[in-house]
Amino acid sequence: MKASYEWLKEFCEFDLPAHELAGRLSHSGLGIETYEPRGDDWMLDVEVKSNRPDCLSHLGIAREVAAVTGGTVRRPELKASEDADRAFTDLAAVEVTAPDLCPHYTARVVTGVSVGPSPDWMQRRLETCGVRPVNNVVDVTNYVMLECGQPLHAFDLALIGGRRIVVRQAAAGEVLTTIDGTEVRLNGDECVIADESKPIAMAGIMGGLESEICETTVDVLLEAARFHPGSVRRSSRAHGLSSESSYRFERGIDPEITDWASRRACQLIVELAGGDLLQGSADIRADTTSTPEVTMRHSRLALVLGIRVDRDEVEGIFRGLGLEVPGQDEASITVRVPSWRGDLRREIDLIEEVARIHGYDRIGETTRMPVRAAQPDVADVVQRRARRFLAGQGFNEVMTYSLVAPTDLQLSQPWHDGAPVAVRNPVSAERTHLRLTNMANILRVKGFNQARGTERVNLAELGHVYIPRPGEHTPEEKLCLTLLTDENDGLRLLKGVLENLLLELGVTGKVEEKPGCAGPFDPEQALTLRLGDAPLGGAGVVSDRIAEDLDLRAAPALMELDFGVLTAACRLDRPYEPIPPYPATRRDLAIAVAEDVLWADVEACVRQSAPAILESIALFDIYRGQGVPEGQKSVAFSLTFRRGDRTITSEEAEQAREAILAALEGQLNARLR
Amino acid sequence: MQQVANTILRAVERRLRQATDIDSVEQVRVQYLGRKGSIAKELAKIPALPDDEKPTAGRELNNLKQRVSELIEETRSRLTTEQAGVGPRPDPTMPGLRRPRGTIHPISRTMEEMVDIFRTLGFEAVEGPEVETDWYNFEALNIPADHPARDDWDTFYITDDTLLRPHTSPGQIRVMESRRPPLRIVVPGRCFRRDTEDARHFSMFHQLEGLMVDEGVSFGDLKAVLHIFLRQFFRQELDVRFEPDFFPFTEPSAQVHCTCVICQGKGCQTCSYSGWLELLGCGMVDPNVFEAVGYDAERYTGFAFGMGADRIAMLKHQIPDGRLFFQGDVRFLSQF
Repeated sequence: MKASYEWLKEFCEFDLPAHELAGRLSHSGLGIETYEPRGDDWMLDVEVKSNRPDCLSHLGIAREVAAVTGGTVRRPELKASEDADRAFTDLAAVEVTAPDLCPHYTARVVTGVSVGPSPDWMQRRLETCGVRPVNNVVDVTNYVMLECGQPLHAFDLALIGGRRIVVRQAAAGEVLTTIDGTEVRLNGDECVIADESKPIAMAGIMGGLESEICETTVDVLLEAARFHPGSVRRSSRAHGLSSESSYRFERGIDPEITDWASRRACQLIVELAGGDLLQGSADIRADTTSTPEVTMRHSRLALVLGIRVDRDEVEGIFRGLGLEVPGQDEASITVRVPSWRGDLRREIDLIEEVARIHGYDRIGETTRMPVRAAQPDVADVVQRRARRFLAGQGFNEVMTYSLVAPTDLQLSQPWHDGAPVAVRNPVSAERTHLRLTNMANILRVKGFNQARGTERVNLAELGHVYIPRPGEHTPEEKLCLTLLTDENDGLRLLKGVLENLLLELGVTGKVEEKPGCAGPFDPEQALTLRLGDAPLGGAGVVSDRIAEDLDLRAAPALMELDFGVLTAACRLDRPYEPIPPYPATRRDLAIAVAEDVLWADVEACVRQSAPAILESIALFDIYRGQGVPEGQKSVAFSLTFRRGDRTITSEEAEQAREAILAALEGQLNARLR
Repeated sequence: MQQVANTILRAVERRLRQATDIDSVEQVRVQYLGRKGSIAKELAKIPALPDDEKPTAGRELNNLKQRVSELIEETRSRLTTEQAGVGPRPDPTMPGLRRPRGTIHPISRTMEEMVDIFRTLGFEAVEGPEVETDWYNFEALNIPADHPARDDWDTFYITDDTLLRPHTSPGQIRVMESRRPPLRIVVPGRCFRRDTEDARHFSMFHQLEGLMVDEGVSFGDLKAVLHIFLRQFFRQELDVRFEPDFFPFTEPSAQVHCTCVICQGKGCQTCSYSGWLELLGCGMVDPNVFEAVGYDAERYTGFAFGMGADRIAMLKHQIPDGRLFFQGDVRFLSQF
């Protein structure tokens, strides 16, 4: 709320320059965001939090000033004189049929006003507070609201049908044109101020265009009321309408200020616009003000804050805040909460008041932290190891957005067939659904880098994808590790990274590959991966079409893994494996096979026919060209043989190699080169 | 024998003077020092000499052998140095060959560092779901429906009851529901708010929140813990200032300011020339929150705090635009 420094002085005498006042108030909990000179005055931009609606007025802020400076709070004197001959009831009537929505309604009438501009001093004060002057009557309503926090509304009495106000619930379908020109179709939940036939204002939010004060207005009906905060809030949101009034009603009004504000406003209207105030008022109230008593124990204060505060000081703080102290003893102090402090209801609320006025800086730092057991966090260790490992392998970790647009590319993944989770109220058309994969995002990052001149990238993302669960509103948050490379032989490179990662994490199982995988892949260069009996993920070379769509110069390779599967299979503290005591012997083999024979077929055949002495097989060359028949390729690999009980002999190695070659010739039609 | 030795020596000297490469030197060695070489032949004649001539002859031949060895070594040395001068010259100042270096994302690093510091103070890291229910995210945190306090969290909704969490506090509620006090946890994670994006506001960001509940936990403990954290995290001495604030789930509440870590309080662009940075919100846990999770609010007290990891990473590294975090430009990522 924007407040005026000079105006505050009318409510509490103080001797501090603006910057010091700002500092003192901020220091005790009423933050002054900025302060600027405005002519002879200063504008203080006060940050009022939702627990202190009483500070949405100069009176409320002045109370805070008094609490920190020790000053006294005063209010302008009321000296309105009523017309002895005519009464409110002669000219107007009020009925409240929805007391739940409007627990208190008052109205007064001033007749014979001259509507014109308000005096300079009032206009300047309103402008300092960010309110645009309109005319003397409307300006008075805003002025008094800024003074004491009570929103007011002035109606042109002649334009109120039947001169009757009915405060009621709206009927669905009723229409109201508000003062800002919006035509509102009511849904039936709202509280409205109506005349004998139609709504003339949205209660607490905005007045109607028809009955607004203008130059021809002669008789004014002044409303000062209190509306249910929840109702005002709901109606305000439903129609997208809000105002300084609705803002205050939502947060809570001091029930004891309503009538004062009404009298004050009428007095000012008569002073500035002339006219007569009719005797009496409508005053319909359905609730009573509660001013509860709350007790605070000094021992509890010491426990929560960690310091003791002198009992006299505590009492002084409460009285300085305007709280009465009906009783106290050695152990505790009781206060009576005034009508404007709806936020003080419990002992802890009083403790906070003492703490902020006493000064947080006077509470020292104490450390007395007992040692307590904590549970080990394996998942975190595994993630950190994986991150470091990937950085060591040359990958840059990226983070991309969880919310995406549900394009075909975004839906191309191996985890879920159906639609992604949608957000009802997105802020951008690009971010409307929770991602089912990281692959689409990481491809865009690749494109982003290419467009900026970085040709070679190796990217990794460790982030959640959100898989809808049948019958549940919340999705499974699956942690996925997604890799992208555009180096040559990218798919083999990623498979190598995965193998190394398994070693790094101590995973003992072997990854099974099956050709084909749902995802943005070239179907002939894609694999579905499993680890044991769990689906691990997929990998492949991106299809040419997708690479073209994304304007990529070459098709990168991608891999996406369910990181939870890896975490479950990892073994952080591996047992030692004995180092083989006897040397191995290596034999190479080069065979020519048909083009459609896969390496997986060759390897499977070798392992199947291999004797126990085969320790490993490693592919080192694939060759096509001179010396290899058309439609065939030469596959060269090394076989490592080793015995566990003694050094293997040349003859044994030869025999084994022969046996393997025979199997390859028999099963795959291979021929030795 | 003396004469024979001199002759051999002169021959060796002549041969070595003429030698132009190591191979020639090797030939000389074999010819004179080899098993079947000249000196060996002379040594073989010693047994046939008269007894009184044997010792002298032996000595002379051994001296010769030594001398020839030395000459051969000298020649070898000389030739090696000369040859080195003739071939390509090595250049040790050539640039280093770097193996490819990957990087960890600055937000991952920031979160890890934060968690590690709190771990040293006995805090356990726990994660909660990003997609939450209204109860865990608001009601249990003393933010009732239709309350204006909700305006402070402009939230993405999936259904009336399911949303994308705008803070990680619901994770704390979940832990409190499943464990009895005492408790010391931090909850790191990703959050979402309906903010229009610009250099300093994001619709997706990361937070770290913390909670400690025990008997006798006070505001003084809260101040101490946060001061320790800030000093360790920014690796420098700094002052902290706690100013009263309001959050629905803490009472009393505070904002924490610390000396600007870029200019050490002298004033710079990062701190808008104030010398201070506002980094954290915190406070004592509101008893209503304890009630919601079934903790005895009379017996236990606690404190809670929260900070934006992305924002703090931006401050620490003086990054002007937070969108850089999520664009994936490797020229940015490689810097960390």
